[in-house]
Amino acid sequence: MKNLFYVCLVAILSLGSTGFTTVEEMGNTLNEGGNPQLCSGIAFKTFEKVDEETGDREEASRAADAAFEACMDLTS
Amino acid sequence: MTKIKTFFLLINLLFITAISSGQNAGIVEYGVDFNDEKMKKFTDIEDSEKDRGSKFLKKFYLERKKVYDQDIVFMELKFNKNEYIAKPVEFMIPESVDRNLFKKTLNLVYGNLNTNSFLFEYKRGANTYLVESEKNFKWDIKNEYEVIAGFKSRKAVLQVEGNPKLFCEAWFTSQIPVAFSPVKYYGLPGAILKVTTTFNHIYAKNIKFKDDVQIDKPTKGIKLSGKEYNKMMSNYSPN
Repeated sequence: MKNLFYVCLVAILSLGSTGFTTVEEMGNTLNEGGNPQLCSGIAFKTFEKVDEETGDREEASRAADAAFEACMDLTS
Repeated sequence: MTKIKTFFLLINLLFITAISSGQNAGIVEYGVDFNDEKMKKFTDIEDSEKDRGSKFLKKFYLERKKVYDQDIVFMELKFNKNEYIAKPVEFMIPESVDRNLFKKTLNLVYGNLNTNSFLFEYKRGANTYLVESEKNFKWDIKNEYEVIAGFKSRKAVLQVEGNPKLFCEAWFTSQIPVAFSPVKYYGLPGAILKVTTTFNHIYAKNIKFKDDVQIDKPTKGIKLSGKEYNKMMSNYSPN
């Protein structure tokens, strides 16, 4: 459990510089029914990106939710 | 000469009143086009792009484009002289579209022009929210005209206060004497027949006038004030 926490932490920190590059790799490594912590980070980044480009938070939430769902599928 | 002028003016006024009184109620069907120009920032990225977030957004918006490329009715607006309600209609999602990626984007909107109260519906996950809009939008009306669905329409642009990136361009007609809107931006001196936001162009395809139309104010949903909605929107958390 503790190891899983560190794996997630490293993944989330790595998002800061490389965006989304670790999603598939993480999915292969964890392989246990979705990774909410990792996917939340990805969703939040998607939200920020769409909000920054368009200023539309409703739309940003929509895109972020889709990214979260796609990530959960990918990491399960 | 003055008498003749007055006579023609009266005839003209009677004619306009007669036309307007027959246009106090009806149903407008709207089509939707994807806003290719504004969405280029998401959809025009190279296939060699390495950032998977950008790749995801490209796919996300291209799937939406496939849906809105259909020449069908996406929204229906009912109006009478006091109220209007616009609702997205049910439609078939094309086989080629990844259903997990397509999220419905059109909101139900309601306006009561007598009480100056406006509502829009926001759906997220299993929750439906009814948001009271308290804004007075400051439109900039331009001297540009276009005929839309047979009505002379005038352009107006809106820069949403406090959010310089949010914009809206609308074409409204004063030939229909009910100031309805298919989106959550309202307050023009006429009916909005075409509107462009960052994501979509929404345009009137058909307008059918009726003697009267019954409109029920929406009541189902968690009620939120505009401030509560803005607060909810300021913090994202996955659904």
